[in-house]
Amino acid sequence: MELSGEIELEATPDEIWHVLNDPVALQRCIPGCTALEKRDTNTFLATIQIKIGPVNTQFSTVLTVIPVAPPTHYSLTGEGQSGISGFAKGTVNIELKANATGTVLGYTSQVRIGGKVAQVGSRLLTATAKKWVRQFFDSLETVFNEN
Amino acid sequence: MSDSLAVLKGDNNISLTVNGESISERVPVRRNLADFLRLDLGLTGTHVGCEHGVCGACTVRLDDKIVRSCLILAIQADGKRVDTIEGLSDDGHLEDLQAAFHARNGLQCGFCTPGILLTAAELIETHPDADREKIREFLSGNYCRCTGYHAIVDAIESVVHSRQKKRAI
Amino acid sequence: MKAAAFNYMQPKTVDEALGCLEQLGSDATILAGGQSLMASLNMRLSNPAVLIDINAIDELNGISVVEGRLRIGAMTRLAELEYSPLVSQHAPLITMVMPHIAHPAIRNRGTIGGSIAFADPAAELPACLVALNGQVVAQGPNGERRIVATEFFQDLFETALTDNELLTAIEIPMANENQRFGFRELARRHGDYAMVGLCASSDWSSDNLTELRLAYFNVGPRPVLAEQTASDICRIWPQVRNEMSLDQLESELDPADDLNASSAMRVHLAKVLTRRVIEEWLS
Repeated sequence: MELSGEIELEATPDEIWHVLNDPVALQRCIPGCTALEKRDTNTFLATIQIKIGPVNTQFSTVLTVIPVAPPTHYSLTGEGQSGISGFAKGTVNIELKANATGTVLGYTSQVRIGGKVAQVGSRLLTATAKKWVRQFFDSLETVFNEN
Repeated sequence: MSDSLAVLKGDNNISLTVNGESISERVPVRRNLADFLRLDLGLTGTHVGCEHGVCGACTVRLDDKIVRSCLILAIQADGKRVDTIEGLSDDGHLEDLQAAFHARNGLQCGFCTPGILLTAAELIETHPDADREKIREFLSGNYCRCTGYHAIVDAIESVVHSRQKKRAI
Repeated sequence: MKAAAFNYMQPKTVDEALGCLEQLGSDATILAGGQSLMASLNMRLSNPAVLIDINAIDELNGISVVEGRLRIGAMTRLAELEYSPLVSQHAPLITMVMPHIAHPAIRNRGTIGGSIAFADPAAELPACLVALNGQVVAQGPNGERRIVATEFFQDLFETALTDNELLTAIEIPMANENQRFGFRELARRHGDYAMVGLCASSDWSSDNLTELRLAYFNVGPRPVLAEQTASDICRIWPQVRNEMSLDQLESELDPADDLNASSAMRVHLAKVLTRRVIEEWLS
């Protein structure tokens, strides 16, 4: 499924870029991320707890940060597995544009969810993915405001 | 928090009544009632279909009410009364329903039948004047892959009628 | 398949349950009727460390009238609600809705507290509570509080309950003779999750509709009270048959697409259900 949107942040693109590339800050942005371990320059192993409705399980996820064109274009790809519950693969493409008050962050994402989670929860997939993405950007805003 | 509140892990003792008999067994916390009946007590008349409550094959009676035994933990049945197809058949509770199913070909492979009989029994007890629409509505939580349901509805309807006649006498 | 291993506790009082929640935090999951949770555990979609079984807490049972409100204990089984004379007298909308919730065996175990706290977007009872302007009673370490239904359901499976609170009861204003209720849902098979549903509550002054609450479910992450549409209908009553366009619903409802129906189809169906409820009141 495809999800996209735009949010406004009171920060410059450079400041947001910095947060997106800082593993400690990134961990705090990712909803349910209990651990983030660096594998190599742009790859991390993340443990992500998803607790939405009937799903309450851990996804072991490989995250790849792709600083496509600093400081405006950024991509985050994740491939997560939760044992027999299923898998989730997604890419979030982020574009940062400066405006009068700060930055407009535009995102487009493609998410594929499969396995038991998708079979049983097909009626809830879009809503769940949207909620997770919303939480990611809410956390980004919070982490940002704290710095 | 009270220090006396136990945390149950691993295997635990339970005591309950199954088909009128007092039973004491040791079961893992995570075992559901359907598996307990089948694996620990050898009562395999209760069937496991979907394991998430929709097919009705696992239906048993808990304290005289039909429930999905796949959605109840064995340890939750501690101190309670469970009746399965074996008990309800042996004590004659389902006799007229079983005869009707037999007469009207209300079963083929029989996998759904125990669940359906228990559900039909509760239907007629709570709605003694149920019509075909009510029968279908009440039985809508029991799936049958073989019969196409029509003969099942016929069988149940015939028992509704025969019990009505008996009451009228 | 079979559930993964977990630990289990069975508090006997609300205070004991709150103690468990305080001590275990996010490791704990409340087990009420288990009709949603056990299914999830059996499929291993959920792997809680500890289950807190609240089935032995007597204080959570009971249906009564308290201070002009119908009070329903959280552990009241759906089957008990279905056949309760108090409920059919004081909250007839609930009685109308009950036969549509899953199936009898599920209703014998499922509870109103569980249904409200779980807040499945396709569930009937959350929308029912919104239509009736009911309240949720919750207890936590800081005591008891009441949360009005429209504020209780916040997002997908997200309610105003905090992690250390227990939903203890539901309270509903008692129905009076100037009220009428309506319920419609569309499901592929009887007992399935509805594609779209509507719980409606209305106030009348002789033949005049004075107030209307339209609570739709499965039209988004939580029940939606369509206030604009409701006030439009009240305004044009009784010319509603000819003048009711319901286009306002298109902006008040924002359902997702899924395998059962597209967003546009859901909005269309919501209009159909609304017309059917209105028709019933007109005749």
